[in-house]
Amino acid sequence: MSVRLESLRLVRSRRPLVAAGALLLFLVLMLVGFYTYAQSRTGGAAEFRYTFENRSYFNGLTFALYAFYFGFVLLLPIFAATEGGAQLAGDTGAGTLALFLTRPVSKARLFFTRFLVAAGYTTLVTGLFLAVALALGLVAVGWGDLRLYPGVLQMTDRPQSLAQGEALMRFALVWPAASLALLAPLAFAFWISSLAKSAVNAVSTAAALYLVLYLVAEVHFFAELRPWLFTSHAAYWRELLQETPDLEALLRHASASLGFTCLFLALAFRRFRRREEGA
Amino acid sequence: MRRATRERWLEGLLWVLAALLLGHGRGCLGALPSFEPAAREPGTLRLLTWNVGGADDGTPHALERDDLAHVARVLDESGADLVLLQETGGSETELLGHLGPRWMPMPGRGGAMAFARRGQITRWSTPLARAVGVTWHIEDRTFAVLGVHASAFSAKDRNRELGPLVEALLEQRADGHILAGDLNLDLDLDKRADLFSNDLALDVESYNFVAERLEDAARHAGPTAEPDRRLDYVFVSRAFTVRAAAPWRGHRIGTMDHEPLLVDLAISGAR
Repeated sequence: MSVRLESLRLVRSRRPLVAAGALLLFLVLMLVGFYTYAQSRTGGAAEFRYTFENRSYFNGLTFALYAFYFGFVLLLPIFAATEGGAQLAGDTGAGTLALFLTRPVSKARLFFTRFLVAAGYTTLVTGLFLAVALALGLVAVGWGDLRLYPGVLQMTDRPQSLAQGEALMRFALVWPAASLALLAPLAFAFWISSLAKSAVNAVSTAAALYLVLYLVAEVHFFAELRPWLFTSHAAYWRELLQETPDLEALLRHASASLGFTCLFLALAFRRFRRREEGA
Repeated sequence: MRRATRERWLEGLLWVLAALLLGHGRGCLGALPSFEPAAREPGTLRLLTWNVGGADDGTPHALERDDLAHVARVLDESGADLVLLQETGGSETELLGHLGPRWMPMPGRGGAMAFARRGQITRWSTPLARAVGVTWHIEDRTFAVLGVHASAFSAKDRNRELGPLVEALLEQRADGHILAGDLNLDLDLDKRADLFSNDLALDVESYNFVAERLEDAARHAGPTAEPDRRLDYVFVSRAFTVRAAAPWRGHRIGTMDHEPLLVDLAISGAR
């Protein structure tokens, strides 16, 4: 069971195409949304400078940040959950898992190769999404300094500014940080997948549970519950776009995300190595 | 057999990693900071703002007679040099009776009130009915201070109120400027998805208007009012360095819905 074979199976599944199409559609709709908003606020001139927080700071970097943030919390985890859910349950449902295991390959190798390929795929999709958002922002609006105001993104409690070069470097760091955060929903879906016998059930359950946990993590009354949900830590990468990132907080949230990833992987692997295939 | 053992080891390794990493990550969404009145750096000024009103079964009320002694005790124990209260509801004289002669009162309008324990205060006129403007003379300095209780139910009213108030404050000739009180703005900066405002866009604009001119002293200190909302603020000009700022948790009583917010300020370039 090689990485190459798993990668080939992933490409042939067409799931990457669906993800790319959906993310592109999302970016185009975001651009249309900002265009029409600017049009209504600038008397038809459609100058890209108006947003919710401030009347004169919008540019391609702001667009990329808005698009990536909302895509990250609601779209990328669903694709991660889809990928994780499809992995083990897909082959269980089709009966091919038992066939794979007739070859001289261990369950551990099969399990971790699949997770590695799915994690690589998620990282790639995250990077491409961020790169396309930045490129679209550059072409449609033009870059500039990244200015942040307290408001809808809930990223800052005071007006801040990063020079264009510094902001682009920070976006480059956001890629691995955000990819790491997506490992938790991916591992969570792997766990669901190890329990299910059909890919459809595994994917729908993983996606539905992710949405439940995400929404619960957003409810302000649940302050005591939130630290126990992996969804509460996911958007920690936003700290990287602060003028002075709180490195300790970054490290703690990254640890929590990775900890949840290991927890779900342990649960998934425990179930996977103990179950009888083809039964 | 060896393969099964190896798989068990792998699983064990995952459990250990999960425990270690979650242990390290624990606390990043943990307990909220609370003010520690005992720890006070020398040479700092301490300011307290508190909406002493509340809501009983959904009906808002001003400071209640039964709470007067408690409020006076909290103010006394806080060590505050200057206190700005909102929703005193005509109980100023009785409250002063509980506080004693060390405190200098300055009633404002609409339930806003200032008390100074150190220094002298004189009043200046404010453009809002629920506010008190005082000039605070302390340690050879003069500071313009504004205590505010902004509209609770309308973002539009808050937006209209805060602009002229901030401008009126900054027009005062002083060594430093302080805006404090219950601004009723909850922008959910601590990411708790609040649904408090009837127009978040306007509240964001109002907040940014103030935050671009003055520093939000207690911005990392979490909610100040029930349920889990940050409505009370102390904004200070560059004349000050914020040494400590947080709500003093566990001091509201009865049907009160706000905690007192305390701020320790050092005067930059102090004489």
